[in-house]
Amino acid sequence: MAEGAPMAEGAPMVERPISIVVEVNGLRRREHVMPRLLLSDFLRHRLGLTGTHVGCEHGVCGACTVRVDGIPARACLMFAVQTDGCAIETVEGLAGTGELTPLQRALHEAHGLQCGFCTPGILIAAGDLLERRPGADRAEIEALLSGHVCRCTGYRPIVDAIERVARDAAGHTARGDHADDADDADANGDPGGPGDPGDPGEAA
Amino acid sequence: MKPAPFAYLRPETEDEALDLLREHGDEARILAGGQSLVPLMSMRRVSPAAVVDITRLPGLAEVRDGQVAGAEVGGAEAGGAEVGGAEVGGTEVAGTEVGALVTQYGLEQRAGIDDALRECLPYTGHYATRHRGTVGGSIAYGEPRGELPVVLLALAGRARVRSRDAEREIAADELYVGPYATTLRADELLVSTRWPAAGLGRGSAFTELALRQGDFTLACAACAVTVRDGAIVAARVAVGAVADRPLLVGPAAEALVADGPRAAAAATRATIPGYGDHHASARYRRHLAGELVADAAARAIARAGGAPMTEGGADG
Ligand SMILES: Cc1cc2nc3c(=O)[nH]c(=O)nc-3n(C[C@@H](O)[C@H](O)[C@H](O)COP(=O)(O)OP(=O)(O)OC[C@H]3O[C@@H](n4cnc5c(N)ncnc54)[C@H](O)[C@@H]3O)c2cc1C
Ligand code: FES
Ligand code: FES
Repeated sequence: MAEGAPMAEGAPMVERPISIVVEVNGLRRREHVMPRLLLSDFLRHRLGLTGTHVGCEHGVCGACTVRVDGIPARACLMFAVQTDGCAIETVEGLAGTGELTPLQRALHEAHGLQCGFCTPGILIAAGDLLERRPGADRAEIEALLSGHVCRCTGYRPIVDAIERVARDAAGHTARGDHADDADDADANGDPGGPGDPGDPGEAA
Repeated sequence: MKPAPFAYLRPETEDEALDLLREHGDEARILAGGQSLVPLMSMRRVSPAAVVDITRLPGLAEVRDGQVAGAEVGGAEAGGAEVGGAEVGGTEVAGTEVGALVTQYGLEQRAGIDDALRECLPYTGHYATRHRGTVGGSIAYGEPRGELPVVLLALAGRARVRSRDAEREIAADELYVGPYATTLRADELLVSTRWPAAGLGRGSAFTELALRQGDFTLACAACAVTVRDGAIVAARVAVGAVADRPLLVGPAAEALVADGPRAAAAATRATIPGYGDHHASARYRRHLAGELVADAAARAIARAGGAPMTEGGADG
């Protein structure tokens, strides 16, 4: 049983504080937390990292998305105790050097944010997608954003910004996957290509 | 929106976990991906005295290809349909065994899994929730709108569960008994699920409609068929989000074998209860489920190597 995690032999089933060690944006922290403390509240209230926003607190809006050991996670759907021994990345860690990341710059340039409430979660999730699938296409980006509620932008500029970074990563290769979207082809100067609509069920 | 206090238990071995479940099963909840449990706890719809975090148990995050026992498409079990006398599959078929902690996203990245299973995974949540949510959690939770239970039913898959003293397999047909209610006991841990793969003459497909991809579905359907000499000899049809539990639709499978996808759609509409909420009426959902069944059936048949519509004697 994990150190600190279990109850002592024969202890009653009560909540008691547990000692955890986490690395948040590269900094090691040792903290005592109650099991029911959500990771989102731990980050915001205990560590003062209020860049992780909390909208719905039940996994739907995406504003609280962080990475735990390199895997995206809704911070409102994890308990802080679960992250014992883990590395956590929040939006504050992105421009640690003071220099915006390509994705941050692209969002800025494409007007991909207004109030900015949704932005931290989108930066983390889209950053993760671009890491796993550097040349992600527009459909993948749109699917990703179905998990992030933005009340301001109408999403289009966010998709454009993420796609711009993806396109740069793919070395400006023309992609042939949204030939049916003439509007996009114009707006992005993407020549489109011989799309393969096929049976979507048979893709891949 | 904050969970009630609970004791946090994190076993490091499966034996330890099973001991804890035997001792505290009734008042404890297993925590896997947490994508369903944590919101429930935050909304205080459930307030377990203890949470048993199984995410660090070794050996539960593996995917293995091989023989999976006892599953066949059609057959005599309730809900499947089979043409008289046709031998369909055996008791051992090729398939995939998926450890309980394999994530929905992780399985999606895996080549060689069954078609219906592969097709349903992108719908099981959003990008971030699929990175945490587990296949075992989806099956054990029994969400009536869940995709994975529907596919497990259509494929005649199975769940392997363990308690301190025994291990058993539960056929998908026997798993879901009510709203979020399964035949898993409180002292049991689901360790893996078994998914028969499509083989020669067998095909499967999944389809759904949701307001946004990753949102809970308005209705979804999965079909598995066996085709011989161009004709459907066995079929299973399952639908989600139209009843208080994932549903196997026996009459739709019979209609599919006898008269093809359109007949299966009609039989689905005539059979399922339908269920209405602020997103869609029961009538709409019934209609939608029928159309989704027809679509999944047609694609499953094509994959099995049959003529897309059996009506009209294309089975020569
Ligand atoms: C925004 C959002 C959208 C979603 N959309 C969908 C959707 O469209 N379709 C869908 O199907 N799901 C959806 N979900 C839920 C899905 O993400 C969950 O992953 C899944 O329902 C449960 O898996 P889990 O690993 O998260 O389980 P948990 O939340 O950890 O557990 C769920 C239940 O199963 C039990 N359990 C878990 N693992 C085991 C085990 N190995 N043995 C025994 N019992 C176990 C737990 O005790 C608990 O009662 C959504 C969730 C969110 C937050
Ligand atoms: S606050 Fe976590 S997803 Fe909305
Ligand atoms: S910029 Fe305001 S919510 Fe997205």
